[in-house]
Amino acid sequence: MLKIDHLTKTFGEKKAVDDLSLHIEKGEIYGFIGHNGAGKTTTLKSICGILKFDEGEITIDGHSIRKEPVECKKNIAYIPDNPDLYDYMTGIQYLNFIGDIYGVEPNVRQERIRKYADTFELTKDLAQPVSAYSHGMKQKLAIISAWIHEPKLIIMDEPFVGLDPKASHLLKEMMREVCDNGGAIFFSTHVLEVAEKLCDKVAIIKGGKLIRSGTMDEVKGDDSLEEVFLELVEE
Amino acid sequence: MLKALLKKQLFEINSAYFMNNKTGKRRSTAGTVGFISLFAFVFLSVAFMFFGIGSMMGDALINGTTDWLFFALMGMMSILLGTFGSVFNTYTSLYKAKDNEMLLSMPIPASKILFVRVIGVFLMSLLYTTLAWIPSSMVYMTITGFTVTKLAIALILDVFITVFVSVLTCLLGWVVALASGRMKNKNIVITILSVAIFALYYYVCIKLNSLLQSMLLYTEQIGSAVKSWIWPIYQLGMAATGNLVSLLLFVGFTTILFAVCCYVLSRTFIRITTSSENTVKAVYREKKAQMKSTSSALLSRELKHYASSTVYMLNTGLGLVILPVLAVLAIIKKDFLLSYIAMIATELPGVVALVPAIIIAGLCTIISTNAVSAPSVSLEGKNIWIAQTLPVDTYSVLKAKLQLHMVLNFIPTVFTAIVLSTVLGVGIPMTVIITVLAVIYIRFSAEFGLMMNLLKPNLTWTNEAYPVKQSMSVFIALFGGWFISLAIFGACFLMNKIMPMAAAMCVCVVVLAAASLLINRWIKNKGCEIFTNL
Repeated sequence: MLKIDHLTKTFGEKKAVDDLSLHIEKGEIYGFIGHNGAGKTTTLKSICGILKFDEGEITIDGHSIRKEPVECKKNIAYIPDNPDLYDYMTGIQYLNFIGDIYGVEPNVRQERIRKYADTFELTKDLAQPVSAYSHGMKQKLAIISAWIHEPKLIIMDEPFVGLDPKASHLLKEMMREVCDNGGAIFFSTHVLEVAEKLCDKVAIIKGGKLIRSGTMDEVKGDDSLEEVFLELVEE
Repeated sequence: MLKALLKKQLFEINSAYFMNNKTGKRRSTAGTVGFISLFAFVFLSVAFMFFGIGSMMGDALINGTTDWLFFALMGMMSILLGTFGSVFNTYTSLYKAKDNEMLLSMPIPASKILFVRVIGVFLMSLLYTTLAWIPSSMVYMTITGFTVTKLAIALILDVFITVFVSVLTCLLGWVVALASGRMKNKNIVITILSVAIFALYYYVCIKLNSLLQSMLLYTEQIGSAVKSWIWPIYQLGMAATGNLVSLLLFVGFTTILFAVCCYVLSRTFIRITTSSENTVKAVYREKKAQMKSTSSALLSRELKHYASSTVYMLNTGLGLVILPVLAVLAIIKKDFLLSYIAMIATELPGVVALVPAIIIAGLCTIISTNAVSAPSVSLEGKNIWIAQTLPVDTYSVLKAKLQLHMVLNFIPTVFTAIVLSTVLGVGIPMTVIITVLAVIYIRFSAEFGLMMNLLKPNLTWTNEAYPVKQSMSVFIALFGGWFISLAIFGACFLMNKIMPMAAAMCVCVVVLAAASLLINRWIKNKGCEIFTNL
């Protein structure tokens, strides 16, 4: 589904991501953890085509993000850590905008909006401008906008920040459902307990370099993910 | 506590000199000196203008009997200037300051917070009122002689005129605050009101000379009206001539008014400050979803953004209002225009042939002020990630910005081009050429503005006003557009010496179309690359 080969991205003198390689298969929830400034967001943005990387290749379902960006983007959805959405649109206008761009049929779109807005209890706020939304509400709207076009790959940067416990639980269920239906999810998080319970595989990045990756059992063994992470990061 | 609050407020007011509000970074010393120098230059220029107005009025009114009327009229100008200059910021300064909630959560009485904000309004207004009042006092002292008493009175009255202006603007801001909580389409209402105020302002500017002449012709009637109906202004006028009783009355009146104003505002300050902007809560009703094409969806997005931003509309859309107004004025003043041209033609016979060139140059100048595309990339701001992650080619996103520019300008321009051409009798073929040239110019200005913004983007603004009003791309698009408008006129003028005007204008059509195509090619290649990497 997603192949990252020898990804390198430099900002000035600093290598934010250094020769990172990672493969994510269909059906996998892949966690991405690392300390602040480790290169997680840089990696995620490079996958989505927001950042131009210096070396390496990223392919999504066989299409190169560099050579066929539009083709790749048709199959992915990205939720950033701070979802700055269009303040001048209402929630429903934003969702319809995304639906139009991704070519989601009106009746299908309507059904999905109804389903996910009810799930996140956002229905009554869909007529409000996004400028009136709290951070959590914007996060929910961003999640709904990602789900309505049923992408094959969902990239999320710290998706649980700002979500209430119920919404977090619902999001985990939705993530599982996507992967059970053949999709894949690649997300970064600082909440290691969530990663431990939810992820099929995990990658740990430190100083731009991948220091460990694999299934949860392979990475953590008998220890907790937190213990393994702290040990690796301190080395 | 009050001292700390006042110190903070003063720092906020002066921060523009030391901080670059576009980037949030501290200015360099050279930058600060340059900014202050520029500000001082503008300040002195405007003050000089009021000195000129004051001199004109002073010659007629400063004669020992109507001196008070001179000061009454100059005082009213100071009040109007002060009110106009600060009214747009007062609502935001009082009720939308970012630290209002933080201060309200501290053990600080709300009345003190409000008082400090009002002091901020006072200091802003003082700049504007001083611009008109001090030059008028200087005119008076030039004619009647300088004394320390006159100077002291001028300075005291400067302060208390500002107090009066502060009361007016604070009350206006309070009314806006109360009304905006109940308004649904705030931005549209504010834009319409702002356009109306600008129209009035420009009308006064255009008619200033004749208004001043009228005032000087009817001094007795105006004087009697001021005495009867505007008692505080009469006292102001008398105080400025040295009448101490009037000085005390004016000072007392403005002080009481200020105290009442602060009391009225403090009663509703917390409620207004902490109320949500969107108190009119829209109810969601599920509607049948309509499918739009990608290009329609992107254009719709641009239109929504435009309509939601008063700053964007006012600063790039005034020309859209001026164009049809110009057309209507041309219809009303048709006879005057034709006789004026005929009169000039007796002195300069060649001017008739230049009428089409004058029309097109005028249209292009006004179109240049509608620099809709010039800030459009910067206005993506922190939302740019959405456009960059959508499964659309980058040119589609940029094309929507060009389309917005075209859609907004097309109808007003075509309407005005046809009306002006018809009124001035240039004939049908020339009317068609003028209209086509104007439409090509709209396209050119759209491409040019977008190119400038791609070359000089600013995504890190904290206030939409910065990319719209203070960006290099808008500056170049505006002044570059005016230069090109002048160049079009110059080219038509020169080419008309060797070919008919119609042919000259057709050459301009071809050149502009070619330039537009070249810029469009750049946007499709380099421009898209720049946008993708922003």
